[in-house]
Amino acid sequence: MAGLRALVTVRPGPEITVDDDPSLVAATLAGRHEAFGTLVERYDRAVYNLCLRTLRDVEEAKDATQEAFFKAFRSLRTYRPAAKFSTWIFSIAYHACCDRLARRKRYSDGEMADRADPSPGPALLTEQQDEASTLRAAIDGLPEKYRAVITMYHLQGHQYEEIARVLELPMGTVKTHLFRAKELLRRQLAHAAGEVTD
Amino acid sequence: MNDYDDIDRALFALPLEAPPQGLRESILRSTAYAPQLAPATTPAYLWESIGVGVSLSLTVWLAIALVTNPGFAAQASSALIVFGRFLADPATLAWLAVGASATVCLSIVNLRPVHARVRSGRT
Repeated sequence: MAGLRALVTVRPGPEITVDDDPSLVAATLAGRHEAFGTLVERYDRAVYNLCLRTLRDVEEAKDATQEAFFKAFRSLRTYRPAAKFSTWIFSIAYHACCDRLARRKRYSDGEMADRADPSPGPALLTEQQDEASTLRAAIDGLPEKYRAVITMYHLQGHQYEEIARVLELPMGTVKTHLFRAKELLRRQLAHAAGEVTD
Repeated sequence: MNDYDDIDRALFALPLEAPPQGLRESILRSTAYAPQLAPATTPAYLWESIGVGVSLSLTVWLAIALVTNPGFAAQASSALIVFGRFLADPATLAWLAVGASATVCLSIVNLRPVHARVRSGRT
């Protein structure tokens, strides 16, 4: 039935000429699966970065990214074109990360605790010479709730409503978290710069 | 880096990290290029399942009733005739029309409270 609906909205053709995300979703639902490949190409980097910053573990971020796209593909029929595809896929990815973090907490007494925070931490920031690495390390040093907001801010820019939707937080909380995250970042970076120049 | 504008600039200039090699291929192998997982094969909507379930159970009930009760067909036919006469009655039709128009009117009128729009902006 869904396939029929999708066929009504998408004109079949040998090549994908549509560029916007809802059209690519409709094309995928119509059976042109290469359209989903375009969506993957468009968002895999951003989704991976969201997972990496949230989980701070390359292997887990890789798995969470794959899981997010797999879930998105399976539930593509539930996507509503009124919403941004980026918000939708970020939301799925963030939930996948939250599940992994919750699982980690359950095993926090065991060996998983060691994997939970492999980031260098503020004490080792001085060893980071590259500005981007320093900033990444500073973000990794933030508490989880601030890290998520600052990562979404990095990925989505000033679109607070989208950030609030992905993180399922009120807009006011997003702004407060963002303010505190920036303040913590500022302190950490100032501290690191001070130590480097000493 | 002493103020928030500097942090904003640094954040927006921060390049995204490259995903590990093979991640994209791995995603595509498990989604777009895995034909058995095509989205068209995902479970139907709830109302579709309910519709199919109701139709099936009605069919089964009708079949069992016809087999077990030989007089069922005659009873059902007479009941249908009575129901048809009831529907053909002008008073019934008038009440049905009143009900339908009331439903249409109520569906057009928006009774939800109007909320103020939330604006997004910089902190």
